Amino acid sequence: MDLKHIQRLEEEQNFALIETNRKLEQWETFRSDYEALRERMTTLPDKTTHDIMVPFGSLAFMPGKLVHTNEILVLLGDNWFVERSAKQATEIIGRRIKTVEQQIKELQAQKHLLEPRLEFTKNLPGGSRNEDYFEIAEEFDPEKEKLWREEHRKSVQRQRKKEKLERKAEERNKTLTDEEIWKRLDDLERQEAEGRELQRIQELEAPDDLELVERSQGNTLLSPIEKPPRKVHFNDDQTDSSFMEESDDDSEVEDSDDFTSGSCEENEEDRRESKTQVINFKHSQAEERLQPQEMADSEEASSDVKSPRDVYRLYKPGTKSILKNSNSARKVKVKKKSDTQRPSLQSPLSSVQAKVLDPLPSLSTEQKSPEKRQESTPEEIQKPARVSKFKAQRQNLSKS
Amino acid sequence: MAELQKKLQTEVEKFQAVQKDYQKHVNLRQQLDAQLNENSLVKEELDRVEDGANVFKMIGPVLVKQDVTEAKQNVQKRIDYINGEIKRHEGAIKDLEKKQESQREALSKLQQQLQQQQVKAAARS
Repeated sequence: MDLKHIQRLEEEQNFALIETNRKLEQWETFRSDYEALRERMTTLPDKTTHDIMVPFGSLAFMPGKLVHTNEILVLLGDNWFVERSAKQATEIIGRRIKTVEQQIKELQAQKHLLEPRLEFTKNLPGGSRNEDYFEIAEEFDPEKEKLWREEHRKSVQRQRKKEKLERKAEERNKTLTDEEIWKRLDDLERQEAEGRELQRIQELEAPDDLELVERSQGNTLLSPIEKPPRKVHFNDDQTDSSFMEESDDDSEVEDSDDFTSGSCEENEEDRRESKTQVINFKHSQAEERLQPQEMADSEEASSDVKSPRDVYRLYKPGTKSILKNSNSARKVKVKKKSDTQRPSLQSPLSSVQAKVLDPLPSLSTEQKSPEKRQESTPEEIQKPARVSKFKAQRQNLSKS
Repeated sequence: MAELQKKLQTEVEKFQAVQKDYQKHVNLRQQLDAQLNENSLVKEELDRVEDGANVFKMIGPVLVKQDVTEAKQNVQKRIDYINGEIKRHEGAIKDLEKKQESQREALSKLQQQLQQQQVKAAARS
């Protein structure tokens, strides 16, 4: 709806209404005239003559007499007159008034019809009551639209290409950081293996314990240096502690708790690793433990071991397992939480599951072991004192 | 181009003439209608008048006495005449309307032609 059209409509309607009103007024005057005339009719025949002031022109009057008071010439229309008496004239007047009233009725009906229409138009947006309505019309030209669409498509394509390039650049940057992450992972794996190696060493007989203790201490002393960054990393990765109660793995994890706080990180690491991949350890024979040491030394000399894969290449699988021997486990191991239960748990599980995952853990530990041993040996001499109470107990027992 | 324009001009004039005619007839008819009403009123009144009464007809400034029956007849004649006139006029009006329509069509056609010509001329130049 065009606002202008509405205004025009309103105008027209208003005009019609005004016309109707005018006509109505006219007819009303007619009626009033006829009424007056009727009255006059009643008074005229009262007297045979009336003294009146006869108008001369428009400015003068002349006294005169009105005679033949009952003879009234009535104009019927179309230049026809008829002579009537007052009474008859009154009747005529009556009839005329009737027609006039009829006309008035018709006009009023028309008015009733027009007024609501006008009201409605006024209330429309754009009418006189809502003049501050604005018509928001966008011109639509199909050809212009086509052109615009083409332009839009092109610009969208351009934008997409840009985004693609940006994304590629980002990815390239990411790959750099990815490499760093891989490095970090390798470091962490190494440390984890060291931890496991440590635990394995704990299972050794009493005379070795001291060494182990020292070694472990050395390890733990060293580990703080490396640990700080890892500390942060692991704390973030902390998983629920319910994990502690799980399988064999936890036994090793908990053992390292005995030593220092530093080794806690290793536990968490183990926990983390065991969460992602179930590492089940198999008992290894005591004799086999010596082999990796020698092999490790030779290995260091022979080739550059940069990743666990290299270690695997050099070592044959099945040489050594880091899992605790059931017999030695019972002897050596003392739990914080449940001492008695753990050994029984270990033996059934370990032998069944360990075969598959054997090479990897064993290798990782073997990789770590040479380093650890080398690291620990110089520090053995420095700090021999720290021993866990359980170890001490065992030592006492063995001694006693 | 010029020819077409001239043609268009003549056509427009014709159309306007026809329209005028039409309007005239319409007006006449309206007038006749009013007269008819009047005369019917007169007739009614005259019917009420008894035979002895004086009936006058105004001819110019003079009132001429008429017989009631004569007056009645006259009025009746007049009414009939007016009716006839009305019919005649109505017929004429219809004819003129048809003519008007055809004229309009012709005009629009000519206008279209002219427009096309103009477009062609614009394209050429």
